[in-house]
Amino acid sequence: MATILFLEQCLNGLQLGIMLFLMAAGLTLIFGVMGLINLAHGSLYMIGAFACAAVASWTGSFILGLVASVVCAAVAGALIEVGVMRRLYQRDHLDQVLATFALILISSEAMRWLFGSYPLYLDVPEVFYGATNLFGVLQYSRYRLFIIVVGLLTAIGIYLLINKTRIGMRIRAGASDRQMTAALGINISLIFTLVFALGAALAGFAGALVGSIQSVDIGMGEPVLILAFVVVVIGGIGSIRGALVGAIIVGMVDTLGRGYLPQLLQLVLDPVFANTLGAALASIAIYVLMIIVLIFKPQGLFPAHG
Amino acid sequence: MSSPVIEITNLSKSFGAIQATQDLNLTLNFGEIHALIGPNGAGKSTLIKQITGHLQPDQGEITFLGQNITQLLPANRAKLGLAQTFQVSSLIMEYSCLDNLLLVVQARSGSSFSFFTAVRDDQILLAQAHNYLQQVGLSQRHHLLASALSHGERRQLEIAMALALEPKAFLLDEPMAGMDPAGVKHLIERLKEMRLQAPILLIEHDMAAVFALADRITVLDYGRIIATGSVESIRNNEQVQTAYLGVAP
Amino acid sequence: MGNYMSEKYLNRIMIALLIVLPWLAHWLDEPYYVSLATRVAILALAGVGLNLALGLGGMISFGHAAFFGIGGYVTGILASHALNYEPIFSGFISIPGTTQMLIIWPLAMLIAAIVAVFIGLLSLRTSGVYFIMITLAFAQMIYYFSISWPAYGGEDGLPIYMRNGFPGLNTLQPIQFFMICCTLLLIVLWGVSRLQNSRFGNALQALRQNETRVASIGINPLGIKLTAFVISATITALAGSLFADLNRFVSPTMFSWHTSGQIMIFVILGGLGRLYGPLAGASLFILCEAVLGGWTEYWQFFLGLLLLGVVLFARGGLIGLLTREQKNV
Repeated sequence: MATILFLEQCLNGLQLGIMLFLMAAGLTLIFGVMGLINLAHGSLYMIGAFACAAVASWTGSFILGLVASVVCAAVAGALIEVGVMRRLYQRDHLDQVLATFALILISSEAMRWLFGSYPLYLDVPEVFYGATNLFGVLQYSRYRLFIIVVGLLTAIGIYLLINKTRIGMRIRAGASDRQMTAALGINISLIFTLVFALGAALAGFAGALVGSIQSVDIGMGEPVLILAFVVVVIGGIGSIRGALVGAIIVGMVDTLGRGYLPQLLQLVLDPVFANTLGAALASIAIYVLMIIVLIFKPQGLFPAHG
Repeated sequence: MSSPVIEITNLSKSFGAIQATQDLNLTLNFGEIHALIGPNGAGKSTLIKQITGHLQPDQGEITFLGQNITQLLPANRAKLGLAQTFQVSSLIMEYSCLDNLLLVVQARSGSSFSFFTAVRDDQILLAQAHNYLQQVGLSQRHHLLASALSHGERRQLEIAMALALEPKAFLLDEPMAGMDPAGVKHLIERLKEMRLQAPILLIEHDMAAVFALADRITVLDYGRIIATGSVESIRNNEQVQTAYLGVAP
Repeated sequence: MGNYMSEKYLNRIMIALLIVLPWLAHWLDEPYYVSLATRVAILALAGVGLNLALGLGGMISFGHAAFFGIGGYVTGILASHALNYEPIFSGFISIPGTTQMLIIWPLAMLIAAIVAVFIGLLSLRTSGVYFIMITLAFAQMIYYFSISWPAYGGEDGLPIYMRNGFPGLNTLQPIQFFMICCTLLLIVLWGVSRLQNSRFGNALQALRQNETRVASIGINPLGIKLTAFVISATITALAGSLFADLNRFVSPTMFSWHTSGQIMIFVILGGLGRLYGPLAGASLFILCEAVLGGWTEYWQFFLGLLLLGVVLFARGGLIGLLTREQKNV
């Protein structure tokens, strides 16, 4: 029984990790290629979720909703890149932080104005209702399984895109040497817009997928954004591989910490106190993890530049 | 004979597969100008950074006035009396010339942990700062921001900042770089005065200047010393001519 | 300079307005406006704290909410113990709570300083984006801890039933509490203006521009930066303590990253690195909130636009715009 529960927790951790990867991949690419720190990435996640909820309830099709989330987030991302971000590439990090913080205020309020303050709920297709049997022992939510599979496929897709295609090669070249890439006659501003739209699409997609587990509301992007930052910092800013490894680690530590820290502490402490302390510690576990990583590897686990 | 001011023993540093410093031994003696030459990428700047403490060597030891400084922070090495000028001018760009020097004089003359008295009201510090500016001929420009200075003036300001530390040794990283012939000539005279104050480890590409100034020359290539000795012996060394001066033997 | 006023002149006008307007409101019997001015003074104080690290020292701390919140929670915890007659610590000696501002402030600042030494030592090892992220992470850590630790209200926060006292004053009267906050702001502004021109300030501002150079003349960057970070944290904690007393309530929101972002906004709207920038910024912020907030519930949309505009087009902030003066270093 304990093993089954543990397995289930591991799958939940994996699911969280994969969602975080979809967020972190965009963040780390945008930082690696454009040198931009983008706080508004969480807003794109939110926009994706809202687009999915709106289109799904309008057409009755969850799949169309997912498509809409990707398209809307990508378009919003491209617009933001062309309208605002371009002016920020040459600026220092402080300006980038502030401008993207301003974008959060703007987009959150705009969504609140469009959709109201109440959360929306997204219904998944009937195929995903209930649980499915895994390995003959474990009943696991079909929808979460769907998220894991789709997320993994997307992760593989990104990996192939970045490492095996011509456009990916150009993106990597842009990440390692911007001026050189420009000198080679590659249209750098088009690459930037593409990377930004790609990152935005991934964030929007993640938002739509998670929106069906939780509710779709205004502030939903922010906790995820900060988790994704933790992932990026742990993995090494600019590294896709680091983002993947970091995401899985953070997903696992967070989920397993919440599941098991209180129980572990009960072995040595008074049960009530252990529960309180365990829950409190579990909520900060990933930050402790990040700080430990930075103490020993100040550039993250997979430093991208030098 | 007295012990050297700077003594480097068995210093090694590598970046991945590249050996930037290989088992290097070097001394800087009282009263001398010791020039360090070598082609680009020979490891001169890497060596300077290890002496100043901006890079940590993999192996070996650096002593300064008999004290092992290998583990010291850059600031503490400077406090002991190690002054450097940078290959690319490194100034406090939004500070005036005078403020750049005030900062150095302040650092040398006590703690920076004083929170209430205005630094610009300290007449003693001001007088000292003005004095060093005058020494390099920047008195008229004292109010200008460092960012507004010409290239030559920035190099002068760097020299003034090194002087203001009243150091026990100078590390000068290509001080002549980018200067016009008149400036170079002027700087050669200045270095001749500075050597009276403290020995100079001089990295320089301008061979005429090196031959005019140096007591000893050490030639670096691929992180190793390929020759060291008097100006004459280096001038005539075949290995040096192949590696550096590009003359076929 | 033309028709633009000098920064010094503008600063004096701001201070005069900050003192005169609340008294006017007081005489007109409009306590709401007095409390608005009190908020301006407190938030400006928090900004002055951050400005020391951010504007002078170039340390982009995205975690100053941690110190603001610590100031608030120390105040709330001490007061709640005192009002419930429960000692904070009972063992071989018993430590009671207190409702005396004069005891609460130094304690709040001391505890923030201790936390700031710890955070600073770890985060100043990094730079650039990593510094931004690690300061954010520390603040988030405290935020989530405050939510999930139930002893002092957890997610619901902790009420302070009676505003803490100050000898000889009736702090419950808005104008008197305002005068306390305003006086503290003026004292801190004076202190920071001295610090700016001191040896310490000289080294700190040089460090922001060229750390390698400053190290090479014998000033250890870490010591200077850490000290500035800690002083900055204590000022922000003092503001947090006053903020708790103003609202008579503390909650985890004080630790949230929105709070860090807002304190940063005060600094930037007014003008980065300008002594009175946070006062201008906090005034503008409260003005926006009061005017736009009365007009539309989506006022933060316009705040966002304003902030974006300032960052993209008016980097000197409000003071820079009004005076057309370059920041004097």
